[in-house]
Amino acid sequence: MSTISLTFSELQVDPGKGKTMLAIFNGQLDETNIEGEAQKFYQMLEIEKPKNCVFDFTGLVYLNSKSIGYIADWQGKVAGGGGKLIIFGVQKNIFDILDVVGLTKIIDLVEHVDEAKEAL
Amino acid sequence: MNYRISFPADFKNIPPLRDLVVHAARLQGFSEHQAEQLRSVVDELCNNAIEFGSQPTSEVILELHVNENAVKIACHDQGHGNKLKAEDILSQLNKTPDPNDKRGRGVRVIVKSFVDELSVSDNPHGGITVTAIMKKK
Repeated sequence: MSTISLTFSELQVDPGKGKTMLAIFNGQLDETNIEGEAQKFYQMLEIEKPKNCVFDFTGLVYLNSKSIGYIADWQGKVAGGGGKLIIFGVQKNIFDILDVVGLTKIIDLVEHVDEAKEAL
Repeated sequence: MNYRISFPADFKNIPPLRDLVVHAARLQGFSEHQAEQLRSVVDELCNNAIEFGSQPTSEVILELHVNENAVKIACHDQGHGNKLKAEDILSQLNKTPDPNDKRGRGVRVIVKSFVDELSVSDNPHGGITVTAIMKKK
C-alpha cells in the first residue's frame, strides 16, 4: 500500500473571501488509498462547509487517473458552492498528468500559498 | 533488460512495479520526465488489468523490455473480469471521456498521450494484452 497523508486545517484569508480549508497531501495517491482519502475529503466538506479549498501538493509525488477523477469532482463541488479550488506546489510530473487530462484549464495552479490566497 | 513478472491481482502489488520501470528507464538513460511518464503508464495498465480483467484469485503478467532506445510494457490479464475483448477496448480508447465522469482518463488519455505506440490484443486462452511503447526522446 502506498503511503499518503492528508491533513486539513483552516487557512487564514481575507474574511471577505469566505472560509477556506487547506488540504496538505504528502506521498502517493493511487488505487491502494484514494478511496479512503476521498471519503476523508467529502467528510471534511460536510463538516467544515468551506467556501474555498487550497491544496498543498508540495509533498505529493504521484497521483493516478482515479485520483484525478476525484480532484475534478471536488473542484466541481467547491465551484458549485460559489468557491474556488486552488493548488500550489505542484511537482513537474504531477503537472504533466494534470495538464494532459485538462485539469490545468479548470483549476488554478500557483507556486506558493500566498499566491493561492491572492487568487481566491 | 527484460523482465516478466507474474503477480496476484491486488493493487498493493503495483507500487513496486512502478518503481521498477522508473529505475530501469533511468539506467538506460531516459530523462526523468520520461521515466515519470512511464510510472503512470505501468500503473494505469496494471490497474486496468486488475479492475477489468481479473478476479481476486487471478494473476496479471507484466512484461518489461527496456533498452537504450525504447521501453516496451505489455500487461496481460486472464479475462476473469468483465470479459471484454480487444475490439471492445479499442473502441473505448477512441471515445472522448466525459469530463464529469470520475473515470476514463487512465489509458484513454494519460497513457495514450505519453506513449508512442499503444495496442490491444486478445490472449489465446482468454483475457487481453495491452502493449505500450515509449521511444527515448
